[in-house]
Amino acid sequence: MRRKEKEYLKYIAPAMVTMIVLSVVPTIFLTIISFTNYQLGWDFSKTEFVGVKNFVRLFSGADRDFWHSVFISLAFMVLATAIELVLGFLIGLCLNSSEFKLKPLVIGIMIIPLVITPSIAAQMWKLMLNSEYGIVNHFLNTLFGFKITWLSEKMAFWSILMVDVWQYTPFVTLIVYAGLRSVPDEPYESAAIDGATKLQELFYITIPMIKKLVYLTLLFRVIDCLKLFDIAYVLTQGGPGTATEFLSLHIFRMANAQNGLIGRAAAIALVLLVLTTCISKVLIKKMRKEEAV
Amino acid sequence: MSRKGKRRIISAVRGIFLLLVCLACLIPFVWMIMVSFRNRVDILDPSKIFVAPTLKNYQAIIEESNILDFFKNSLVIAVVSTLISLVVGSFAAYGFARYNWKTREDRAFWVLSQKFLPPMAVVIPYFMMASMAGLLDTKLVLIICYTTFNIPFTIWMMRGFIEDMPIELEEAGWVDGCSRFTGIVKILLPLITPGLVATSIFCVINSWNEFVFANFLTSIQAKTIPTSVMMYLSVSGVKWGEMAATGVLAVLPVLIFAIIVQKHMIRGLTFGSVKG
Amino acid sequence: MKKRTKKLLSMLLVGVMTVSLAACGQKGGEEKEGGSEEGAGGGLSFTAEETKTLEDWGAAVKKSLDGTEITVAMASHPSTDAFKKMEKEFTDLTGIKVVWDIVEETNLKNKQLLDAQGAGSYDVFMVDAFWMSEYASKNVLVPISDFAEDETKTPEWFDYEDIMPAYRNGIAGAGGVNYGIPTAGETRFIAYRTDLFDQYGKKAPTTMDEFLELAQFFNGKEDGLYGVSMRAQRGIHFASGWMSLMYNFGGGFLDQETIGSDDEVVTCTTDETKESLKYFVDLLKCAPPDVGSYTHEEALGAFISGKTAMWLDATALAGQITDPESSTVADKVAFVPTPTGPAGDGAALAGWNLGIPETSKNKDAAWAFISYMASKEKVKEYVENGGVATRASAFEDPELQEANPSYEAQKLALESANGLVEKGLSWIPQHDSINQILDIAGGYGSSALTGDTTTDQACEDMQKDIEDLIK
Repeated sequence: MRRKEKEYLKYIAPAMVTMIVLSVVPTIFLTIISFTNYQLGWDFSKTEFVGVKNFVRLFSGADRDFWHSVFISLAFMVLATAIELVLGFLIGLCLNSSEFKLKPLVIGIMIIPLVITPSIAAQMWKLMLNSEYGIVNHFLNTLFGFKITWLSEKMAFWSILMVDVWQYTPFVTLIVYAGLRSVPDEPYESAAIDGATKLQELFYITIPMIKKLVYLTLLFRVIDCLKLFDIAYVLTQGGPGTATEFLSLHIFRMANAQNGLIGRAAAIALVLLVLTTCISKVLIKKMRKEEAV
Repeated sequence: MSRKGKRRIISAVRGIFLLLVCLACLIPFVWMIMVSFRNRVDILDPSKIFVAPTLKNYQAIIEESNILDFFKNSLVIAVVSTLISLVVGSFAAYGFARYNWKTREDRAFWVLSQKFLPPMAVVIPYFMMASMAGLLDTKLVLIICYTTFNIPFTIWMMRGFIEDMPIELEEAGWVDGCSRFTGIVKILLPLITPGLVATSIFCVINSWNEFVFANFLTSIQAKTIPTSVMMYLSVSGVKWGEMAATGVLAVLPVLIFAIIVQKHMIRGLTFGSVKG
Repeated sequence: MKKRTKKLLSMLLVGVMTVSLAACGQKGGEEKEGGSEEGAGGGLSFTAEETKTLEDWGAAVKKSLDGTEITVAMASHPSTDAFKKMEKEFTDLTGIKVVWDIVEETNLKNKQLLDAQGAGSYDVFMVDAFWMSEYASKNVLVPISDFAEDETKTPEWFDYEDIMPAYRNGIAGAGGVNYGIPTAGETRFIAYRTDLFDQYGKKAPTTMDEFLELAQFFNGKEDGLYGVSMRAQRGIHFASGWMSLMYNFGGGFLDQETIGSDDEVVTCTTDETKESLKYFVDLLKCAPPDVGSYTHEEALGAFISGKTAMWLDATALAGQITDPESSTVADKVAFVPTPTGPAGDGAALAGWNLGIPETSKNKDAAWAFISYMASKEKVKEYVENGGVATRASAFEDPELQEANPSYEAQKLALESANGLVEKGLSWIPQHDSINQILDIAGGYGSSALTGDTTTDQACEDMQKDIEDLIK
């Protein structure tokens, strides 16, 4: 019996070992670097341990862009996730509530933003949003007679949000739709007999049935938003000024060749890592609690 | 108003809503295709919607920018990483689906949390480790990275598929004298093939489109498609047409694959979390 | 059971670390071996007799390097396009194939530094003068004299001495060692609209005060007209724009005499530096409102589309101003050197070099490429292809002078740039961390521009931050 008990290890060990090696080891490495003053291109002999100096610099406000980055990253996370979830859920419901011939086509179209290479898609958006010769402003101008400087200091954050919503709402939609498809019919039938309204059905049957899935989607989106890099990097490179310097872009600015301050960047990276881990831990815990009920 | 009329209005509203959503999804894509066939002057003049198309951009990226090498790299990296993730991940998924042990769910969620590592945070240690191991600018280093990020996803998706298959089928096999392993290969594998296909599409999308690692860990020998955007930024302005052409070529294979396996793909997205 | 997993994990960890360390050690060993092999093995070697003409040289190179493939990492820059046009003849002559990796400037440095960390995929780097000190401290490049002063590797028609001394000694190295061959040089000068100046009876500025007055005069004078355009994007661009006139005020980021000593002195809070920043910010108030996002690119764009009356930026871009294809003001501009300030002249000196990375595996072939592309023999073709001149012979060539109306002003500007070199100052301070310093200075300076802080406060802040960085 004892032998049998551990048989699962045979199956999960290769995956577990790979993941441990490829994610735990780098994390340890990252932590070590974050306590040094290492710079890109240095010999290790030049490197010194500087204790918690890198972190003090962050939290004391000496790095004057850090808190701003944290703030806009979190703001982006909340806004993008909320919009994508609500919108994606609505579209998913719409898709599920009627049968029509063109449905595979509609789904096919929604797959497009999902598979398009984000860095290239973002470039195309940059072209479309250009204030002088972008097609978006061209239409706004001919139809409504005004233009928006999409990538200006005030608007850049919202433009990135828009592109993110464009790219990932379909992902939410597809998951929600998939979940709705696999909800069995029986509860609805008995609800219909009891004379429940559509809204009641939604809140008392549909949502509880796919609750775990919604949590999972939430989790995916929350973390992905926090990790956001390519769209913002391509659209604004964190600018103008630091208007869109999300945490990952702040890390990039510290670590890339212009600065090459790998030690400091590692400290910010560690903060980002801790932040994502905490948020995902909280969400996962909540999700499992719901599941247990 | 009659009930029927009300329903008709609702479905009309729904139709319009879906149409708008489709348009929103499509327009940037269509614009990309149109830009890819335009001359530079026309790209900067959006007032002309339809212009005489040109193949110049495609010609330029294939002849001058060696985009085909990028494609080859992307393809090799995406395929190899997906295959490894599928094999390793599916076995783990089998372990999670078929065995029950006390810490199972803890482990499962630990696996999931691995998917959440921010690339920007781990790329620094990856870079330094790859530099020490002499692996920078090789396909191998990207395969390793992408595999790390694909395995958790594979485990979660395949677990749902495997749990859907009644264990009795395998048990029948064991009675016939199959070992557990041959049981998996001979009985389970054909049944979960749709699941494998669905999972593979997500792994392929992830690896095909990944930007952060590709940008940092490769310079020229192992460059992949997403990093090609950097090539088109030049002092004389962005080469929009060539970039769009690259985008079109990059998205087509994945898009076609995704549309073909649409049904399985959607099934896979429930992660086995909705029990019918 | 749990305990055992942990034990297993820790064993694994140790294993991985040992493996990666071993791999690291192994690599170091290999590299050394490779190096000595190249030193001992055939390599490039010829006598002056063998290389009198291009063809002879080509044949001599072909003998040892035929079929070699080199990879070059270059910026998208007019010079690069010019080199590319000369590629075919080079390959025909020498049998060396060239793979081009052309990327946008900020990314280029990233790539080069990352590559120098181990991949070693490149053989030739195109290096901005701004990066030289940092590269030197990180041993990225091979000292170029190993090749340029080796007669068995360099043909006579290359002529190292022909390169303008200001460039040869000013932008190609650090700490007295040269690491690159300057192939594109620039100083900064002013372009102004002769039509507007005539119309309002104004004269070209010769002092900083006049410059500011003129900018304020023209700003808003006509509908959609601004006084001046310069680069001022947050970070290094702002710092670089500011440096165009900082030295004329006697300002500076560092006391250059103390660089390298244990007690490096940051001079951001001196009155001169503060005054120069205040002046720069005042000047930028006469620029288009989005000047805070301008790189040299947008600054040029604003001027050649007729939006500003004056422009102060790199001489290397002058060709685009006088080219009627790209510029709407081509026939109504004139150029003058950067105006004199309270502390005299201090014109900029910057540009691009070709160098050979330490990690290159084909150093001889790389040098063959550089010595061909940057030679005196080919300079005329290079400039005609759109390259930016660094050689005296190019500035003196009558045909080239005719084709480039700004050469005269460029030469004047270069003379004043030499002035700074003679003062013992380097326009780009030769500090290991100069790019980080500029990023910090340009960051705070830019907040002074947006009004988030005062110029004085910005100087205090950058002083603190730079001290934190280098001490």
